[in-house]
Amino acid sequence: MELFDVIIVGSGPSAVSALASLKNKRVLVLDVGIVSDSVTHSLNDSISSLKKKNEINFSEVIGDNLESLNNINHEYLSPKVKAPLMRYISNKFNEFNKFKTKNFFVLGSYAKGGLSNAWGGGSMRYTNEDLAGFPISYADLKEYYDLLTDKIGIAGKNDDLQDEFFAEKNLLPAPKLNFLAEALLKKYKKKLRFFHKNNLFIGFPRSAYITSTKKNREIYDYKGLEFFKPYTNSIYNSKLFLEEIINENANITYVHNKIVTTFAEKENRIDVIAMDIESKSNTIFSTKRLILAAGCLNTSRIVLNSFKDYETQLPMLDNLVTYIPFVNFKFIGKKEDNEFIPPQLILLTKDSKNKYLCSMYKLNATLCGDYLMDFPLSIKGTLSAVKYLVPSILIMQVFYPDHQKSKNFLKLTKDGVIEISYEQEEKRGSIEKKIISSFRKLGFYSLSFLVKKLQPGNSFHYSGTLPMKKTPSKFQTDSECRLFGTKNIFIADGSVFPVLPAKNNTFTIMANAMRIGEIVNKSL
Amino acid sequence: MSPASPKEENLTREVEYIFKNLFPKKELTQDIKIQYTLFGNKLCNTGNNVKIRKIIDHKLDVEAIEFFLRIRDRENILTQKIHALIYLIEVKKDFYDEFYVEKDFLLKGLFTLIYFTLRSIYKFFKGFIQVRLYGII
Repeated sequence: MELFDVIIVGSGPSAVSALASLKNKRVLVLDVGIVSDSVTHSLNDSISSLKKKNEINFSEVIGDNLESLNNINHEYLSPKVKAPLMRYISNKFNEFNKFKTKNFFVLGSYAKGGLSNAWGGGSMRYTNEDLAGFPISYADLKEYYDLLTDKIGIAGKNDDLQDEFFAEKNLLPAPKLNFLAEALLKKYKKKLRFFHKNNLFIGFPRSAYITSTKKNREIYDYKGLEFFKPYTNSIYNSKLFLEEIINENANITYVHNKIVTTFAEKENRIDVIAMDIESKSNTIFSTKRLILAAGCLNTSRIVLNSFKDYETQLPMLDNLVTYIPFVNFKFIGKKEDNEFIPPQLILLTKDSKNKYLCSMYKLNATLCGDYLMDFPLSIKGTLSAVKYLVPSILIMQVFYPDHQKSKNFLKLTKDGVIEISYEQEEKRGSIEKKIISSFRKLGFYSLSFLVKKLQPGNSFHYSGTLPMKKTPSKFQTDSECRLFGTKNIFIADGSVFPVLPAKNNTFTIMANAMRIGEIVNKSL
Repeated sequence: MSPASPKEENLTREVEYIFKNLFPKKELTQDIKIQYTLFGNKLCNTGNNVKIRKIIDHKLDVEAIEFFLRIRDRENILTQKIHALIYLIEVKKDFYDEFYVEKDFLLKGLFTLIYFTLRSIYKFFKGFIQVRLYGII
């Protein structure tokens, strides 16, 4: 049997980042690796322009099985994975995994590239303050953040948020703003004193979008299609980077259609058992080092299954999310400008306990049907709201930080069901009140009762099940993300985050995975 | 072409009535009818008991009834069907002007929104009365 130097499980951002540090080794990437079978499509303009030109392809936008209508009468699906051409992202995951959840929404992916297929591109670095519960600091991650910034291309600007996101030289130009965001930023600059005094800072996000020529990648031609059209090389997708690494390195093997079920560490090797999704037969692969990077839910399942532990409750973290709709009355009835990159701006704010990051969006990327029924008006009224009010609406997505709480956990049952319970929630509402009252000064109005609190799990930032600790114990990892009680098994995804700051965690997962890849590389 | 089943005939009658009530000046195309029927067929076992047939037979105000029912329970079958219809028309060029403005209309927009807010209040009460009077649920 062939003995690989390293087996990496998964093909999402963490797996591919770890792989980037291991190009000189004999690596096997085990993955389910579902790809979209609809690579040719007619989505070459914004949805609104296609509607106007009568060029909407019904099968691609609504779906022959009315996929886009899913949320009317089926369990809620995020707009990121709901449209017909985006169904490949989560389809097989739900087929092969059974969940029992309490107050928790689950989204997973067996797609090649994992959830990066539906990633918004938020690429913010963690500060030392963010890393406060971690046994590592910013200095441990900095070189990997820099490498990633250079490799994947991050658009942004050194502005009022640079203390939080770090001043960087290698940023690609920030994308253009739409009329609402432009007005907001202009007013904010006039009211800086008030906003700074109240711990409110607004600036451009750091996003993994290509906004100026970079290697062979195209400049992002934003058409608001991110919820409808798979794969573009202008926004980071780990599938495309994985394929690039495999093409350039003959020593890297990619095997798909495999669900890793368990591992067993022997004296001088690790056996990894993987089930073929078609034949359902098991294959054993052997390796000197194993890196689990299959996403928090998959990785936790593999670890618990390998230790045959059906009792332990692993901690479960996720950023809680609320939405605040704002209206700027000056823009009622304004003709829409659909060609811009979301999110447009970021608000950073703090209260006595926590730091919150808030992304600002417009409602242009989804079908109107997705939000139309949220207006408390009769149907003709909702249509007039879509037509005249929506151009003036800015949606703010507020992320809450999370930390371990005894009642929030993940466990595996003997029959393979992943149980997730999320009972202890942060109280939500007071930070939104502060934001709403401050934003009046910018001409943006909202009311507290309009704030929408999403069910836990909806940020998809699942983390913390195998947290890294200075002195780890069972089902924890050390500062090198080595699983406690093992010699050569490493965890490279969000499972190792001991706390979850209110910030998109993908970029830090990637930087940490690169770090682990290098640790593993040096150990061989 | 196989003949339509009684259920499909009902769904066709239903979409014709709802459509005419909501968009009296627009034309209901055959493909929207087919897609609506496809959606309606998928709804078969929801166990919801809004008597849509009564709304049609008595020529009631479907917009008013739907709004009243939606405020009470968003999961009701009439709201689901109208919601589906909106998705289906949204992607048609003929309905583009129902969803988008082509130039800036600040004042018209403001007055339209005020008008439809007041109209919605009226529709709510009208829906309440019709639901009670005709035993729609």
